[in-house]
Parts: sequence; C-alpha cells; structure tokens
Amino acid sequence: MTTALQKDTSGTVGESTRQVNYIRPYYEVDEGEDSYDIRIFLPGVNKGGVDLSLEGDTLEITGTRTQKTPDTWKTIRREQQFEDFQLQLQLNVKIEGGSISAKVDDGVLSLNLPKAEEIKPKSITVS
Amino acid sequence: MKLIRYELPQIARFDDLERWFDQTIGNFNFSPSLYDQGRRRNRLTPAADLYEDDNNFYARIELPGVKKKEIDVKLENAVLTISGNRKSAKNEVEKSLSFSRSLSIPDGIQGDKIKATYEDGILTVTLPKVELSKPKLIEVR
Repeated sequence: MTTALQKDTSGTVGESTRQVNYIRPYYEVDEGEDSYDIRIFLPGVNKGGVDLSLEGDTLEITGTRTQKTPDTWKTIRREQQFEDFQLQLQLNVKIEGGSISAKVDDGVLSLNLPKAEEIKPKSITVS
Repeated sequence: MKLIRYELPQIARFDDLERWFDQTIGNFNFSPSLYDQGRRRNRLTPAADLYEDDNNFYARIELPGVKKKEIDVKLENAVLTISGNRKSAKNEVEKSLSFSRSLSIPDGIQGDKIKATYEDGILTVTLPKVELSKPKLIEVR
C-alpha cells in the first residue's frame, strides 16, 4: 500500500506544483530618529538566500536556507524546523523605499528603513 | 473488541510540558525559532537536533545573532552543553541574553576529537564515533 501511495504522488505532483510552506521568522523592530531598524532571525540563511521586495506598503522578506542537513545524516532527534522563512510586513509609515539597506550577519538579517522626509520629527524654534 | 495495554503516563519535566504547549498551541502558525521557544527566567533553551552517520554524531543548534566567540561547547559525562550570550547593541545600550542547552550524547564518542563549526547562525558539533561503534561489514568465508 505504501508503494502504491508513493508511486501515485511522484506521478502526479511535480516539483513545481508542490505547495511550499514557509515559517514566519522571529523579528524585532526598533525606531530610531531617522529610521527604523528591523532584525529578522533567519538561521541557516546567508546573503545569497535572502530575497527582499517592496510593493506598495508591503515589505516581503523570503529567506531560503542555504545551509541544509546532508542527506547521509540519519535523524536521531529533531526539534528544529527545516522550512524556509517568509515574512510580510505592512508598513503603516512612509519610508524612503529606494534607500533601504540590508545586511546578513550570523543568520540575522538587519534592515534599515529610512523615514520619509515628511514623517521625520522636526524641532521648531520659538521666536 | 481488543484490549489495549494501559501505559502509565510519562511524567515530563514541567518545562518540557511548557515547550510542548508552546509548540502546539502557543506557536501555531508562528515561528518556533529558538528565541521565542523555551523563553523563561530570562534564559533561553534553544531547540537542538541530533543526527548520525557511519562515522560521527552531529548536534545542530540554531543560534541566530550570536557571535562565534560568545559560544561555549562543553562535554561532560556524556552530556553536551552549549551555552553563551547573545549580545546586541540597541540605541547604544548593550543588551545581553544568555542561553544554555544540554543534550545527552550516545556512548562511544572520541571525546578529544570533537569539532564545532558555526556558520550563518547554526552551530554544528561533530562527535566522532570510536572505531568499535562504527558499523562494519564482515566477510563470510
């Protein structure tokens, strides 16, 4: 029965049609004076595995694991997940979309989103 | 009708129960990544995997954001302990979060040949098996 089932899935479900499950990474946001700093925890993802896109006010981050467990390793105990990461952030503030900077360090993606000129705090001098 | 053998419930440590609860309900559709799992008493217990192949055992643990020099790996009485701190500077105030995780390691390890590598936030500890515990093919004559 198992063989029949295996045969069936390999015959009908192709690589391209397989549903991809993502896990939502843990992240932290800090507000600075001129910008927002976001740190997204993506263990096992290096620079090449990060895909960033900004569409309208949705910032989408996809992290594909570049460090995978070799096939020859047999699992004795598994607690961690192996899915890739995806995070969608709705930005409810105006930012300078063109000057977002990003870097990946020790499995953490750090993003810097500069605030748009109009939402920066202004000090008004009393005359 | 079949009789099903009754098994005594396995009494788990309280923090294990808490972790199971988090995994099934608390973290539903949310990342089970280490920093929101097992968060208690300001000390984190990161999740860990254990693997083996013919020559080695491998322990893997996700430690994103931790610097290589902040990680301690120790083997004592067949228990592998990985501990350290995650430091982050936020608005010029340094924040530190400590973590510790112990794993029971199977017998037959060459304690002096353990290696640890850290890449992209994942620590991999390679524990070589002693010759005797490696699988061997014996030729039948």
